[in-house]
Amino acid sequence: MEISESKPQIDSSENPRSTWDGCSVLLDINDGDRLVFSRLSAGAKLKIGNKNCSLQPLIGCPFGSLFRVENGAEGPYLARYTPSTEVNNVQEKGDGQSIDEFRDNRALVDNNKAQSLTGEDINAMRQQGATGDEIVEALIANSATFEKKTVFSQEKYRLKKQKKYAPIVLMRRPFTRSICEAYLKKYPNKIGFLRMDTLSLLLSLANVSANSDVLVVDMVGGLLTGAVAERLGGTGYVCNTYLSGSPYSMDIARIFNFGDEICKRIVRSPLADLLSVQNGIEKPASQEAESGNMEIQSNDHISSAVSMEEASLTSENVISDPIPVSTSSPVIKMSKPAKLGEKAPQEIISSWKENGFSSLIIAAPELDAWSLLKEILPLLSNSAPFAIFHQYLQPLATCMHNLQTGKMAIGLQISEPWLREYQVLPSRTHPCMQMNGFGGYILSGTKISPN
Amino acid sequence: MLPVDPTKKLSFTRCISDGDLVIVYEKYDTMKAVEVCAGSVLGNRFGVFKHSDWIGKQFGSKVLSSKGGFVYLLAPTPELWTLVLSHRTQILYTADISFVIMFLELVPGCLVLESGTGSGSLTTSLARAVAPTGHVYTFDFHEQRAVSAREDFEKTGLSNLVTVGVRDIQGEGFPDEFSGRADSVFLDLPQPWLAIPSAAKMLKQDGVLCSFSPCIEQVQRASETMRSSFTDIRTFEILLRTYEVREWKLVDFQGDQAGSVGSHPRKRQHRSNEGSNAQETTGSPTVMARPCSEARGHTGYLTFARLKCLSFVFSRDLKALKTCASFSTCFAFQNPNLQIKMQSTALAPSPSTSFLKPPCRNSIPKAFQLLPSTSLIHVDNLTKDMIILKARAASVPESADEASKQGGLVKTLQLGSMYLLNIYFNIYNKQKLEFEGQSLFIGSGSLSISSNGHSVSVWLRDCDDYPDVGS
Repeated sequence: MEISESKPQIDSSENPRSTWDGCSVLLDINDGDRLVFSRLSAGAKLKIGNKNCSLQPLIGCPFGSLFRVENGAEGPYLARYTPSTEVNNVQEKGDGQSIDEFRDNRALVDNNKAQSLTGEDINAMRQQGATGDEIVEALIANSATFEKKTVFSQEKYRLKKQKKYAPIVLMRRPFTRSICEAYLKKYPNKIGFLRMDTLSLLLSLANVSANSDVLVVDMVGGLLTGAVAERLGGTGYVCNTYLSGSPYSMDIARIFNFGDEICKRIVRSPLADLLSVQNGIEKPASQEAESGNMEIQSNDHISSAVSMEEASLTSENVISDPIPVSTSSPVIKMSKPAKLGEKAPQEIISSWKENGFSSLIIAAPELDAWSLLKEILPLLSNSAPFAIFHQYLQPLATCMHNLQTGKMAIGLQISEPWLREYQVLPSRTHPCMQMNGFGGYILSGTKISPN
Repeated sequence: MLPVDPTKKLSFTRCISDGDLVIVYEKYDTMKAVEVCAGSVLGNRFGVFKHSDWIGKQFGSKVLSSKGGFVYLLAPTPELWTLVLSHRTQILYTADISFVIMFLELVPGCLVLESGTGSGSLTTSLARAVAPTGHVYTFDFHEQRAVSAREDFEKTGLSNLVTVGVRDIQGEGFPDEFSGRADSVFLDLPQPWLAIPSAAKMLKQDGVLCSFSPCIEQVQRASETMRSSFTDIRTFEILLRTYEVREWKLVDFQGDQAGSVGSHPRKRQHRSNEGSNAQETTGSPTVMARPCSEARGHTGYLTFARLKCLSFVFSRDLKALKTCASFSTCFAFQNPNLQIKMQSTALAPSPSTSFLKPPCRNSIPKAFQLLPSTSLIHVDNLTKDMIILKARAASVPESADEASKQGGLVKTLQLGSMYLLNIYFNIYNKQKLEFEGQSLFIGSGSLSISSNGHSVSVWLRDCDDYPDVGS
């Protein structure tokens, strides 16, 4: 495990498949019941149920690994595990179905008498060192109704008990998709209710590709900036612009495991600077604001550390958790996330003036789309595509209408993605019972030459 | 199409030159890809356009025809290309494409496999996602289609990012040279389940597979095949609803009647009809939006799956072995294929081991009493033969009170069924091992060894009878 310590910050273009010390990971506890972003280190801890486990064993393991809480001599620890039996269960259910057909729930009475094991029995088992799996097996063995259940509900019962007594931790790579999905589940308002399919459309419609210079107005916590930077892979630039005062938070971009090369390509600049250069004034208007700017930036670094913790802290409150939970220990050490979002150097701003940005994406729930776009569109190269996200239709409709009448852009379209997930099981395929019903609106188009 | 070559990057100074690919935009649903050639012309309903007029103009410019009509010249993007490419097959559209790219976790430098190539609509976006250092290997079993696709990628400037192969992936699988090298695999095949084992072989650990199928039956079957080596199997459907926007003055009930004359619902104003609100003279018109009534109802289901991350769990197996061994029911380790399955079955005949480790002699009867019905087998992966045995075991009294009353009988039955199961398992196991003809011999041999071991341990512990509950 210690070997990984020598591993340097890896450029994401190398696409590492295993974790290292200081690596940011997404921990999925019990198949999505709880999602926690953590930075792995020897001191990092995660509370699962009432057990505080070190995240040390996760270092050096491949992404996608599963872990379970085991009881060791020095207390509970996370151990890797392979769920081969589960899969067998599902598959061999096929054979079981003929038996299944004459079982139904007519005899099941909900009188709380089915389970003969009491809480004390279970505690006693725990004290004797029983593993979660063993408790689940015992619960099943002591359920008077288990045998009478259909195979399907037996599986459900087993899963429910497993989640409670033998929680599983799945370690995921923090990728745009997983970060977006986790945030939408936990704090949708932090990312402006931006759904993963909507985000993917923004990136496509704005033609984000290697070597491009992408201008973003990211008021969705840095998710958009991070997503663009991930696509750029250390080429081109993503410029996070803001109206005035303090820059918008880019905390979420720090959850990605960006290497130095990618971090260097994430810059920020007040819109006034970009515009003043555009107008030929060489010195940025916000010169004196620069020191203040730096201050905010350093504050921002601290707040990022806080937010990482908070992400795991508040998760318990937000997500109804069957396990008696848990706060991620404040001991989580941020082994200094790579520095990103530096102020854009003057020479780069000048080159943008000369060449224009190659894409524009706006995700600013609080800003009026038209008044912003009116200012910002001239910064784009001609024939450059843009995409604007908003939760409400009207601001985009107005913006589209004004772009049309002002002959500023063509190929204009307002679209709303519609996403539906399905449960696919033998003879039990149907759309999922729970879904997110609204992914927001996107206005997309291509800027044309003004003359 | 992609700014891989910095000199071709879109900018205020980048001008259209001879040989460039441009998208000629007439209106939002009428576009055409044209290769600029100095001596050539483009004729459409707006007139005749000379290519030579285009050269030196910026992308995004409006150009005029001989008779004064105009079109816009745009730089190609994968999204525009999807709208103009020649359909040789059914193609994927932007909503599906963008979702696939995101779910496949593609970043610059990735290696992607795709089959079939079709018209290359998705391939173009795959190439954009992995550029500049990654590569897309795409396969189609249709020779002519592959040739056309290659020509297209040459035209769009992606040929150094995409390699088109002619191969029947359903029949032959992906070439072995990509084994364990692919970050992601995309399948758009009529029988994806035939290619899934090969896709699994190609993927790196934790790599993502996507299968696109229009029919739910295909999804069903593909998902079942995926279960053996993939996890996180998720199926989605994504559609795009588009909106039309127009400015329109609604009649104000209280207001002047004159205003309503000019605000009759005009014929649908096309988007391309940019800014003709001249006749909106009275009142304040409102900009309104509504979904377009024509929409694509279905494209296909997207099934994603992640290659299972295999870990070695020797420590757990050893523990299981220890538990089994101490109970002289050691059959878990005889066949590596059955190993994990048996680990759980091994516990079945002796419920006490299911939560006690190591099983100490005092706890054995307690355990039995905690489990009075001794539904000895509740493990799912048992064969039907074993269910017969279960039925036998289930004839034991159901309630705890009864059980303690008839303790002796229960004990006998428990022990009896335990031994019966033991014998059965040993024989069954040896049969699995394909020791034809000898399974009975090995089975009974192992049983005698294990039961001798048990006797010895019982003897060593100085009791050949089980002590009382809880003592």
